[in-house]
Amino acid sequence: MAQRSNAATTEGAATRFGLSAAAFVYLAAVLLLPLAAVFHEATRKGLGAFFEAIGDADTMAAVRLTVTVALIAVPLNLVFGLAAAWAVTKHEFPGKSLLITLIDLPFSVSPVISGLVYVLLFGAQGLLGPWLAAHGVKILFAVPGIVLATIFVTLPFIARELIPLMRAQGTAEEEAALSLGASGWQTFRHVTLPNVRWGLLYGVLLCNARAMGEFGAVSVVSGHIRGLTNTMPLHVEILYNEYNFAAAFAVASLLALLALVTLAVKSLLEWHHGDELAGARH
Amino acid sequence: MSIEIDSVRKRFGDFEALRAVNLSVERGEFLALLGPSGSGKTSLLRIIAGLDFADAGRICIDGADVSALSVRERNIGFVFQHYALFRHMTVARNIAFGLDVRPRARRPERAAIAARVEHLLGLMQLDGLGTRYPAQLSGGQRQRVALARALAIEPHVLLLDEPFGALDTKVRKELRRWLRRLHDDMGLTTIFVTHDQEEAMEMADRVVVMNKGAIEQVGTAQDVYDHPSTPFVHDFLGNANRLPARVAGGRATVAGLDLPAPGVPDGPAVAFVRPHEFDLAAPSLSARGIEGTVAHVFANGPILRVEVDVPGLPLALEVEAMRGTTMVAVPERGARVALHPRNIRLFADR
Repeated sequence: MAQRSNAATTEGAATRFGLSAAAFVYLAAVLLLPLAAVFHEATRKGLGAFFEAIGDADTMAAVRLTVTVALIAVPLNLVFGLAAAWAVTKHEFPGKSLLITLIDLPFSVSPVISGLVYVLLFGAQGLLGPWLAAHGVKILFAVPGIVLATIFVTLPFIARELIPLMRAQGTAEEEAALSLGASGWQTFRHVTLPNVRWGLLYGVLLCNARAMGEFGAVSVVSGHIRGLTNTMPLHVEILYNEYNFAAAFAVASLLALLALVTLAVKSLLEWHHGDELAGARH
Repeated sequence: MSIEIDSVRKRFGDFEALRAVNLSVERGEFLALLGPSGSGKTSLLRIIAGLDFADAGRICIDGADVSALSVRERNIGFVFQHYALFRHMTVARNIAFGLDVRPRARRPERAAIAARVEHLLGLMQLDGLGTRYPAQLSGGQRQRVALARALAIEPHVLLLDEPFGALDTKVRKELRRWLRRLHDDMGLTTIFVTHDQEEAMEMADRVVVMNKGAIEQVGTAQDVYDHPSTPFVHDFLGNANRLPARVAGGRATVAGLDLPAPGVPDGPAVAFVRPHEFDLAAPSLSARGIEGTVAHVFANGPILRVEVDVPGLPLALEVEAMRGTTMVAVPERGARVALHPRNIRLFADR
């Protein structure tokens, strides 16, 4: 039998099949089965009940809030991620490694802790709480708090995607643009940005998925006010706790759908532009 | 345009990249900055371009001090070592870039830009490649796109960083002659960086030999080859035999020979003799030479190369001669021979 790979690293057919099968069974049990269960539960009482659950006023409010939060958090993190990656990879300055470490901080902290930090800062007994209350600014248990917590948790995604990519690309093209008379902004717009566009889209995708799906940090700062400060993940929990399984799974299926779309677009990006993505080279 | 470099210094942390470099480049000159890696040649080029800034000293172009101007204000054509083509733009857009980014008032009409791009594509022998992307080109083609892009803004000064470093030998030789002709036709002032002495000697009007952040010698290729002013230049340019010597009272002792050494201070010294500057003869009592034993003979085409072991010298001496001229016969391995240097250069050993 002709073998393409090195004989020393090639196992027999039975072993190969066995290992692959084990991996698939594991994936099926851990990922596909729950996913299927979500969709099955969501539509168990028929499509009518499914759409009724989704059309519910509180559910729609949760969907709107989730989209609003993502629409604020993702663009802000996009600007921050681009600026941070650009600064870190194209320039030398003191405190650079500290900045890189700080960007990673949200990854290493439990989201619940991130939420608690905001409570400590903005809560009634918190550091800034009394001052904010005196000036009529409401952050905690309101939309601003949810946005802040989401921004914190999703901050590394775009920067993390861009930094390795921009580092690998170096600064020669930027220098060439400058030597041809381009301004800093023209250089960024015509050279730096187009060179990272697919990586940026990839980062935005992951950032958005997390922003919409974030539970821990948001749960701490939201206050769970129905129709007001409930995001979709929080709404799922509330519905579930009220034994309203059909509705809970209906909303959950929307989140699952988001995950599937994200996954599809992500795969498409990796397939077409894999060489322009840092994440695909890990 | 003439370029004046006045006591330029540059330091990267503890590393002294340039130590008070002075150099003047004449209008229309084709100059090579030649040196080993780490000699400061690329640093100097980048400082002239305005991509880096000197810690001290001045750069003047046509008499005007440009030291404080950024690269975009100097109107200099710069060709990067790995070309730095914009990977997401077509060849035509790469070439047009310097014109496209100009403020409206100074930007040529769209049609004029397109015409300039076409003209440059023709000049660079890149006809029909305007719609390609850099990744679809060969190394030599990329190099020419980089040149076209740099020339599109009509600079008077062209700077090239190791322009042929990434090309194979055949393409390199063609491009060298072609670039030299381009320089002459367009009336440019060109400075290029290279570590390849052959390239520098062949193309440049003058060669600037650099070492450890300082200029060792400036001169025509012939000049620096025939009259190297320091041991480094001698070693770096062309093959040379390096012999330990000792100088006392204006006379030098080199491998048993007694030679006049005017102007060389007393003490240890080094003597250089190029392989082709030896006459090879049978040992005789009348004419004293450096005596040794033939270790190897390479008869390679018209050139005869002989390695001679001399007692007391750490390395075998290399001797080259045209066959059938200075040598009576091809010596055999193990034969005793005497070497008579026709030309010997002495430097105090620092």
